[in-house]
Amino acid sequence: MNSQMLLTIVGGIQWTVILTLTSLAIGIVLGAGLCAMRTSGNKALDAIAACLILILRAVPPIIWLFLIFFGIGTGILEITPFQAAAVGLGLITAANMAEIIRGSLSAVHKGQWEAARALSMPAQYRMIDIIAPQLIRVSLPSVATYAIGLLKDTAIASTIGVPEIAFQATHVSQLTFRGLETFAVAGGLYIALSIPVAWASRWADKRMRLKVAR
Amino acid sequence: MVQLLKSVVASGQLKPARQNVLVDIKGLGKDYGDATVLNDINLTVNTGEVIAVIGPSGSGKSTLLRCMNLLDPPTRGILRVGETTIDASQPTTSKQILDLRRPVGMVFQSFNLFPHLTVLRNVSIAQERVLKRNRQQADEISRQLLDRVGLLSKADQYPSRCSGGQQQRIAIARALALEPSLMLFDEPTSALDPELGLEVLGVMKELASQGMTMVVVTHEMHFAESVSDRVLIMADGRIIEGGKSSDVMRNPQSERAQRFLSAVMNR
Repeated sequence: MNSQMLLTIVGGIQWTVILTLTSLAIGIVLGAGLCAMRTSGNKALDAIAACLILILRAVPPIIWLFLIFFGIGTGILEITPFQAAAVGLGLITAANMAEIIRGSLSAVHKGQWEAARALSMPAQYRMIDIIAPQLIRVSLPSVATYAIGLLKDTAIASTIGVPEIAFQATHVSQLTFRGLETFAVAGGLYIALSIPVAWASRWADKRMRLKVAR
Repeated sequence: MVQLLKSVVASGQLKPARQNVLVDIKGLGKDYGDATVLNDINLTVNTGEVIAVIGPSGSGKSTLLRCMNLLDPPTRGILRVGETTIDASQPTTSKQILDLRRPVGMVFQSFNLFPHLTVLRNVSIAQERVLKRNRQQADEISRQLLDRVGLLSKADQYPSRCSGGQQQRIAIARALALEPSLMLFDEPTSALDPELGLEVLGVMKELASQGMTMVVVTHEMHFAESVSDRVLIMADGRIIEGGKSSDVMRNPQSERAQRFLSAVMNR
């Protein structure tokens, strides 16, 4: 393994990170929307959201990526590999986030909603000032776990040509026929990326818990 | 008090015809599915009056209180609070709901302070969002209120660092921060041991003596008799007896009320 090969693989890090963050952002925004539909009390909206979540989660990520990139991306819309991967992984993340947020919502005591209502706070402030901050605290560990899973799942974006870590490693191994070292380096990079996320989430969780603990 | 009322009337905040009756409830009922929990409730609350609502568990006391600020919307009947009237047979808009709640403060059995905000911010947040005070003004008023309930020293703590009695006094300050004309108390001392409950009752007594209109659902019989002007006894979703506190407490007319009072007094 020479420095040229190493640099090539390391060059994939930025794409892995950007793809993870973009998919996570798309997932959280759309997931909040799906969760709002599920908890709206409107049966039609609930059914539509439940159905979407089921479909998004039941189909394997790689099929979604192929469907979007080769299906929609050829002919219907001009779409880059990165866009296809971000949309595909973002949609799957949205389905999972919707369920994570819904679970966390039920962990926020209903007295919190009632107190905010009794103070005649308008709906948007009830959410922004009272519920959302508690939701973040409750859901952070699950979201961080999911984010680490997502970081690793971005490797499948290599199959449609996003030049992230796995893509670069495959490229290098094909040039050098030194699969063992190449993919070991790639694996090491994923570990190096995951650990700080886990640490940061544990630190933030502990800090937020400290406030509410007796 | 009379002076205050005169100035309020003079400033046109309240129409003279309505100055006395702050809350007017007519034929109010509440169903949960097939179960009727409130039936044919008629009640008026005058400005400055302190009403204690007592009765056995499951008699609908808390539900009545929660209907009065629409935390539980009534199924039947008409509810007027201040200038806002809600007819349960008509759909209500969220503006109507906010308008009705605006002059009503509420204190819960389980305090329901916001755990992620400091004590000071707990009292300030609704002032900023509802009264549109800026943060500095709101915090200033919050400090005065916390001082009034004897908890200024806790301003920068989180609620979890406060005892139950302290949390409930903070919850009272939080409700008072919106300058309510009516305060609803839903068993405010039931989650507290007797000593801590006393701190809370002390604050409530002071509030009553300052002329606050209060409806208090309680199991504190002494408070009901000595502080409130009027006592209502509820059973099976109805008000079965109501009147001057000492009369109702000492000389109940109906058999059901007698049974309840002898159970709570002679123990």
